[in-house]
Amino acid sequence: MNAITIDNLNYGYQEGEPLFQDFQLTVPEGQWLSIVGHNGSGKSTLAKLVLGLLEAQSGDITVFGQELTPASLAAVRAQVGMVFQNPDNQFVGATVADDVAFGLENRQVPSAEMPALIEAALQQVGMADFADREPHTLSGGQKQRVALASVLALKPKVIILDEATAMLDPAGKSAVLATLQELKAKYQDQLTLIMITHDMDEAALADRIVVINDGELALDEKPAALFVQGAALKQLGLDQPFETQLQEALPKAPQQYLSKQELAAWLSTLKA
Amino acid sequence: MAINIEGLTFHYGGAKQSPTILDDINLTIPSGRITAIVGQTGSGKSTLVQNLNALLLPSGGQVVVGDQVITSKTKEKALPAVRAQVGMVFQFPENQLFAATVLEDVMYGPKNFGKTAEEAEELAKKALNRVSLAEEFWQRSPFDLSGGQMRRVALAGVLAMNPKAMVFDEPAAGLDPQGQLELLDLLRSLRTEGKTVVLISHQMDQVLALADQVVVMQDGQVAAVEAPDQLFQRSRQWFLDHSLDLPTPVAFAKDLEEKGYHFDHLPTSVADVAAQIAKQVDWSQVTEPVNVAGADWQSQQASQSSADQVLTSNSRGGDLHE
Amino acid sequence: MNNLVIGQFIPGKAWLYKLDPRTKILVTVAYVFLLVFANQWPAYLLAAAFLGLTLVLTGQSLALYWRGIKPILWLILFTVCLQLLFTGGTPVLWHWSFITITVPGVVNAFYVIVRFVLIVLMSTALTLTTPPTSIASALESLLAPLKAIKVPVAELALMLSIALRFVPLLMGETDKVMKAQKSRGMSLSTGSLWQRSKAVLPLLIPLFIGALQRALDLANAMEVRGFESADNRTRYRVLSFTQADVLATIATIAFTVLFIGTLLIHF
Repeated sequence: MNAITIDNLNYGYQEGEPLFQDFQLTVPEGQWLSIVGHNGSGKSTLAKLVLGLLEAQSGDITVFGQELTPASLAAVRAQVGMVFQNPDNQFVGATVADDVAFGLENRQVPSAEMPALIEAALQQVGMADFADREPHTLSGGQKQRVALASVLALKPKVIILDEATAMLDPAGKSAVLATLQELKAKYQDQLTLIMITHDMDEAALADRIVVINDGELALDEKPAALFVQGAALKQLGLDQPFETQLQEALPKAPQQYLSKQELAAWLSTLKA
Repeated sequence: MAINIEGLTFHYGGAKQSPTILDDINLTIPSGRITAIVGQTGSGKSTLVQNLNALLLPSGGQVVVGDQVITSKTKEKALPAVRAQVGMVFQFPENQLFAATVLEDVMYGPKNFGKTAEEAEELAKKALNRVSLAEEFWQRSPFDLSGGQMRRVALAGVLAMNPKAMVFDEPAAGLDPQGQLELLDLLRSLRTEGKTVVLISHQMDQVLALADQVVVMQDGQVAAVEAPDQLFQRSRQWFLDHSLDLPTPVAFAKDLEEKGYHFDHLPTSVADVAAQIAKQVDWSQVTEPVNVAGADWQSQQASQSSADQVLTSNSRGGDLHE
Repeated sequence: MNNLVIGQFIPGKAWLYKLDPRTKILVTVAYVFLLVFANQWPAYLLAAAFLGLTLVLTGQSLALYWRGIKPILWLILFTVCLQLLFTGGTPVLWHWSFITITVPGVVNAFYVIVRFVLIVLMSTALTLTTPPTSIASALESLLAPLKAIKVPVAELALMLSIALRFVPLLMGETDKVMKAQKSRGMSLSTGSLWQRSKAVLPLLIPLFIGALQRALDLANAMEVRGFESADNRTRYRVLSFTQADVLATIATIAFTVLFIGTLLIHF
């Protein structure tokens, strides 16, 4: 089954300035998809369209077989969670626990059931010890993990991360990414992850990378197949990962994508 | 114009009530060089740079900017002269834009520092050209621009003051790869002009690519002041202890050293790593296909549903970033 | 950086933390109300004793309260001066030119200080032991009867708690924008009044735009997490009265009776 199907989508911020024209994209259930593109390529807009925060001029967006309409909006949002870029601007509660509770309160979960659900959600992102902390005492990375817990508590089938690590320092970034990997390993096909980013190292974690350029789907590949397309990436304002650049700069190398560890291992055989 | 920091200590309010944030810092920030300040969040980097243009005054010790000495007793009246010399670009500087047009916003600094409207406009135009913001945007509201364009306007706002020293706090945060490259170029060109450039960054790849001197801060003290090729020679453990990453080429070289490779100098780029590896391998014994500039892997890959094959056929020889 | 004690919440486990926030609000309101009527030293003494007990039950050090009072010392001094100068009567203690200081003036000034300090400390004890959201939800619960006359109590309470949540953020933002504009030569301390008010714009506009952007982002985040209206929600923090609240109520009633007693008896 497809988690999300986008069909003939048309959207523009202003009349006469279309961004998406007859845009198509299908995301199968359980996939980890990265959507990459330079700033202003339209990748974040796409996420907002899927969640009905923006309304398309025309076209269909279908989430688990259910078409997105004003009437189905609540049902669609019940299945799709989203973590936004700015850690401060999505923290609703006065404490970590209150923030996770916010979504549960909206869904009218009985008060007695909440503490266990909150605890479980915070456990999954490694923030259970911070339940009573106030947001301004947390680092950016911790806030984003709380945002992730707030989404997880609602048991969504799809989580969209809209540049969720862009404002974090390296330590915060790697903590968030490690959490995502744990979640994906735990839920496997039960969880579809869509990660919007322009960081190629981050995108490399996905099963599939879609490159968007000015509202057009420019490339759609597995990471290994995408990274070897250096010229194409450069033209789209994106970087090739270090390992691929190095591989191409060597006199001889295997003609397939190798991760840093794989490349180091291969090089060590030459030295033996 | 060099900046000298002599015995600088800093705490908010009285020494008894609040913890010491900077503890006896001694440092020279040379002109015509890029000095990177690194360290984990809370190590005192931001407080240190705010002492450089007298946004914060030292609790003890002094900061010498050109011929001006800033101490705890420096009078409010003397501060603008310091700030005119040391420009400060905060993190996400686009959040400070306010004027009705881009041009007016960039003119704000020069006008405050005593330039006439004509002079300020001249300086503003120069600065906007320098950050490559097209003229068609100059009369628009800064709030109608994209995030990347707003960042350029904010940078121009400080450049237009033509300060002798410039401090950048995580200037590349949130920019896409293209935007980051342009920013690094701007910093290099400022160095070429002989400006004193200070860069706070978490990204060690940037530090390695740019800095002439790296200051490592930890718990309000200076843990190391070294040239990057010296600093990154230190052990992995040292970087772990200071919660710092290693630059990607350096980390990879250290991996290879454990596998028997030897690097006679610290590699600073992909090409550098490749060249040093190439010297150590007898390539005639290697059976893998030869990498030729322009060779196209895509043609040998089982093609996925690529929407744009044309883009991949260009030569690849020159496309490595420095 | 932020040394303000008044209005701040400090997590703790002392007895006062266990009280229902509604009890604490009602007790504080009753206390402030009663103090207005205090006119003689026994009443003040009693009120001070009640406050002392309360402060002990917050489990916080008295030094903290002293820090809370310090920033408003000048305000207290100002009020005291007014009392000293403008209370007439006899006997006159000291006279010079148009300044006359009388004994009733001194007595009044003393009472003003005491009343002021008592009220400030009592409110501090409330906010120190009660998280802002709990205050908001307590107000929501206490004001619930107003729903009958179509006052959107739930919305107002949610707005209040979100506003409180953004206060530290906006303070940090103000500091940052202020420093950025100072770096670009902003000066708020020179020029005519008109120039000075105009000089604030580079500070206010970015703050306003930033707050607006935060509001939009927050609205999106709330919507995505299923927020539709403040009324159709369950609550994570359920307010419930416990034994502690019964005890507090008894203590407050006892205090009230004694207090009224001191007012009626003339010393």
